[in-house]
Amino acid sequence: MATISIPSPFRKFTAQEPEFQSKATTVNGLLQDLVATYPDIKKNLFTPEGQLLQFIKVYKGEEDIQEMNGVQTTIGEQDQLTIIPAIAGG
Amino acid sequence: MEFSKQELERYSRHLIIPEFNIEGQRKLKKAKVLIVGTGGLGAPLLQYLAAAGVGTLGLVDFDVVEDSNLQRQVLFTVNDIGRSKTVAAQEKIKALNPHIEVKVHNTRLTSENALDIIKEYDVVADGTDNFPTRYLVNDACVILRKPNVYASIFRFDGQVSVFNHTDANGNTGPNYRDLFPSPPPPGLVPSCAEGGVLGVLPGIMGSLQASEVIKLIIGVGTPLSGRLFLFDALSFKTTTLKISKNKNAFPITELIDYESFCGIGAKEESQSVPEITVEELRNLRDNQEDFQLIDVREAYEYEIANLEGKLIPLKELEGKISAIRSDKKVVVHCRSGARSAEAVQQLQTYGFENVYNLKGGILAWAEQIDPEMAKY
Repeated sequence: MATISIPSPFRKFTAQEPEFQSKATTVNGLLQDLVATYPDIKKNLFTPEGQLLQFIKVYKGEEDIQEMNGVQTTIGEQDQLTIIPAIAGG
Repeated sequence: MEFSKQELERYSRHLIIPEFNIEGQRKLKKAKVLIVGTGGLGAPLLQYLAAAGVGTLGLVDFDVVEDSNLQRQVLFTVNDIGRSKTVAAQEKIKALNPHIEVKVHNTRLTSENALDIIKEYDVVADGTDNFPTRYLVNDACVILRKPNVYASIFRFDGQVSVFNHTDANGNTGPNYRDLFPSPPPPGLVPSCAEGGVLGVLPGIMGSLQASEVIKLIIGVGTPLSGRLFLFDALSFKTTTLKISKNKNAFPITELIDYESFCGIGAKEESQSVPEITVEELRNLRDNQEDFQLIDVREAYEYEIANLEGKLIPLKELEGKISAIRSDKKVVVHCRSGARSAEAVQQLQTYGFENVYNLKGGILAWAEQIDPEMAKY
């Protein structure tokens, strides 16, 4: 199953779980599985129109999915995805 | 640019690195670096860049040293509490290396002064603690064509990158807006003051920033341009991701109102709810008036300091409405007043009419009513 890392500011929406796994074959499928499991995370990932928010990045391996096929980017069992939020502490 | 005997001895461990040598040290001495924010990241940045011999260091901050800074801002001591951060930092840095110049900008960086301040420097290191200033620093660096060595931290997570770096071929790498075109809404991503930070984390990330600043100045290695380095201290996982220029980005040609861009004014307006002051709360207590005090913080915060209110964390409020009396006055508080404002709004939607937010939260109580109470 593909694995996505949950950044610490978002773990309050995933019962503090740092990772989530899914059998989905696209990034969108995985994110929808994530939202179905943890509904509170939805409004922090997507606009009401279903677009990824602009202060969120989703990476497949080292690559930004926006440089591939966006949320339609295909994923395999071994893929490691990462959600990167903007943080500002200093 | 010549060095004294003391300087040559001081920098000898640099001078014997073949890639560095006296030419690299000359470049450092000639360089001017601006450090925006003299906090957790600013402390290691200042100490290492000063120790390394960067000729001119500029500091921008408007804050004073507080007790709660000392857990991570290792530049300061208990004797500095209440002093201007830039003044205290300048003293420490001059004591560390008398061969360099330290310029103090004891002010908040704003759209009005940013270009004037930054234009005097070769490299900017962003160690600020809020989104408006991060976008301001980024945009000013883009306009002035200065490299912006960035780091930010939250709890156990850190990020580092080099933005707006122009390489030897004249190609400029991505900037902060290429990574995050717009900021999160206020309240979604807590600051370190609200969400906490592992004290050693800024030491790690600020040291990485300092290393990138030095590399840029002396021109060795490969700068972290077009890449984002992530560090998760909990799992000890490090990741380096690629950042590309956003082809759809609007050109950055002028500075804007960054508070408004980050939605800060709008947030305050939308959260306008009935309030009482800590003075009024004390009077309610002294007069033994019949009211209910609700504390919507977390249990671990309650342990640090509390007003003996009924603890119902904000996220549990909806399920525990029945524990709150709608037939009497209700005062809700949190740490600083933001979460309790949200709680008051929620209670209003359930028909509570006699409900008030404690302005400034328990911090205001500790400041104005009970100086013995711990502030956190």
